[in-house]
Amino acid sequence: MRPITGTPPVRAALAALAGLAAVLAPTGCGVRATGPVGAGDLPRLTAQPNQVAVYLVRNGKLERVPRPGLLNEPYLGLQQLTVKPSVTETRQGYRSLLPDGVVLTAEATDLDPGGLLTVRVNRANVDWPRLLLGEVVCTANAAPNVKQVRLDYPISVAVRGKGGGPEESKMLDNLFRRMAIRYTCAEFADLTAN
Amino acid sequence: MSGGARLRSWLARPWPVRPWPVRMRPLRPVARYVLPSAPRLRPMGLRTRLTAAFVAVALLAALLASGISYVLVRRAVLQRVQDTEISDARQTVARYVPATAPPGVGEIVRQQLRVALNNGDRQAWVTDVPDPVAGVSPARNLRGLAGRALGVPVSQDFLEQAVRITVFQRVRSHGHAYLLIGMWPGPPDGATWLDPRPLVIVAVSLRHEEQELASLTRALLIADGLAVLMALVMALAATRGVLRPVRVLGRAARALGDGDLSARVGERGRDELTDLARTFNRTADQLERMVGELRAKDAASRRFVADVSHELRTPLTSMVAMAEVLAEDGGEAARLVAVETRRLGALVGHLIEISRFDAGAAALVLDDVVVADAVAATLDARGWTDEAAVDGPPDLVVRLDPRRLDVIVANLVGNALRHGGTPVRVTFVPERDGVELTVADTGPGIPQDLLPLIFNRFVKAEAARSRSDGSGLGLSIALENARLHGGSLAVANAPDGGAVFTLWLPSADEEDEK
Repeated sequence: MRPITGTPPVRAALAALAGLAAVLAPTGCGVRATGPVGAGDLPRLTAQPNQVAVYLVRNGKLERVPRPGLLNEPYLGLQQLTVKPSVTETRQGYRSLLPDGVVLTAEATDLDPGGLLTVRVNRANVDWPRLLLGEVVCTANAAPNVKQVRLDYPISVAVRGKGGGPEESKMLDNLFRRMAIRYTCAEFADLTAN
Repeated sequence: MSGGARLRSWLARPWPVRPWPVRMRPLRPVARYVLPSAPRLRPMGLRTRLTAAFVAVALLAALLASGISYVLVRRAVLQRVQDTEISDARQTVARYVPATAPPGVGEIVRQQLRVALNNGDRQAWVTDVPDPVAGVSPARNLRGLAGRALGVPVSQDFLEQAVRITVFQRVRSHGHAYLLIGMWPGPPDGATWLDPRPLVIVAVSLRHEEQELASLTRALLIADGLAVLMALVMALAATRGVLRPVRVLGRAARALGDGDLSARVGERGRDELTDLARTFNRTADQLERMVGELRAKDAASRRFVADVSHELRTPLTSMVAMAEVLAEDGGEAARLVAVETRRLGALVGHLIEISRFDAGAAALVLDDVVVADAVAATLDARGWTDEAAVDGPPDLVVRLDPRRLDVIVANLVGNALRHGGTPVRVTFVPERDGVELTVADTGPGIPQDLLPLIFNRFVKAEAARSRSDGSGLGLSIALENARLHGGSLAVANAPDGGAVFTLWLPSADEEDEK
């Protein structure tokens, strides 16, 4: 008589386990490295923040020139003054009186609640003709919420071997006096073209 | 003592009262088949195999489920972080980089992007890339710079793609995974960028995701372990349920095999095991019925033999007595009749003796017996002292039934003398708390095919001896007597010819007056 036998369940289960391991092994654990994968096109630039106004000199007069703005940069006009006017602007006769190497900066913290903006100049020994002063003040004044403008110079008290003479202290006094002045663009209305 | 007187005294012995008590005896009383007690957990027993199968299935299912869920969760987690980070980077770039940029603001925009994109897990590297010159990739020479700035290796392939499309890549560095995102925002149609556009590469550490996946793995492994544990418990419970009826069936089958034909099992439930139990019960019913019929027939035929023997005894007694008288008057025929009649009487006597064993009416009358004296007395009574050589310790005392020992020894020696021939050697030695007695002759021995049958009734060594003196019951009676003592009787042929009968009788206990 033929013995009645069944498939040993243990062996079948072991085979299934081995198959499962073979299936799951390549995926592995943890985060696997990949090759470069595309995720769509390059982002198209559509954002266009508010323009900033820059006052340039043409024919001895101050003229308002618009420049594209940047996000969160309300005082970008001051920075734009330090950049040479573009080829088109130069051809139209615009120029800036700001000497090379002078950098004007203003941060959001430099605007006090009264609307007074402090513009920091990186050099103290700048000769400020009225037209240049008007360029800077009007550019700064064109920024939102700015009512008055003050220029701030770096003060370096250099103690030389002979000590500060009366001439030097006179210059310092002059500097402090100039730093205390508060300007508005309206003061330069006689220089503006329109 | 004359023959008639001996016969009369023999007939005067008490006989069991009829009808014979019928006692059911097991089919195979000698070879009691006892299974070794089953150990609780066999290596390849049902319990082990069922439990292993349960556990394997549970492990398989748990691993499969957790493996699939792990893969799905991992994909979802990585997809989420990738989508979030890529969308975040694209939005940031689109917010901070204007469509038309004023001149000289490259560094301001780059700084804004760096500040906006950098946070705890994210590092951005932004550099200006001039518009591609024909044949020269804008991404050349940037690999090392990007890798050093981000602390994550950036492949050239990635950079080449990053100047064409938004691209991401997962990389591993120092055992941690990072997500690299690269893009080079394109100029809007018609607008001009006075400065080179910034190429943005962001490296996002996937530390949180890795921790998340590690804790998921831990949780899944714990769950798998619990599942296997539960499967083990359930398997043990299930096998208990399956194995209990199997054990009951096994016990019943063993009882049936041991001769208890009334063994049955309960038939509760409606599963396969219950079917098996029902089949077992039906089989046992059939077996009991058939065995009962066979036994009844057997008992009837034995009773018939006993009855016939008893019925024959009375007329035979008269015949023996008459024949003796006739033989004394002389005449060859008369003497022949007397001899044959005596043989007939002996045969009937043997039949009655056998009937007593069959009826279970034989009893032992125990006494302390000096074996040497008993054997000598047996040989002496039959006049065989000169024909048999006895060898054994003279002081061996065994407690047994002396009359039955006499019957056994007389039958064995008589058989040896009749069929084997002299000299017959009777040897006895103390053995296993009893006595082992060997009777060896020097005859031709017993034919091989007759050896297993030699103790059966009416079996004779050769057809020619059908008319010999023996009744054909002597060895059966000897065996029954040995068994009655709880001893054994075996036969074998000696290597140098001659049959050797080996009897072993245990010494009975003092109070065992069975």
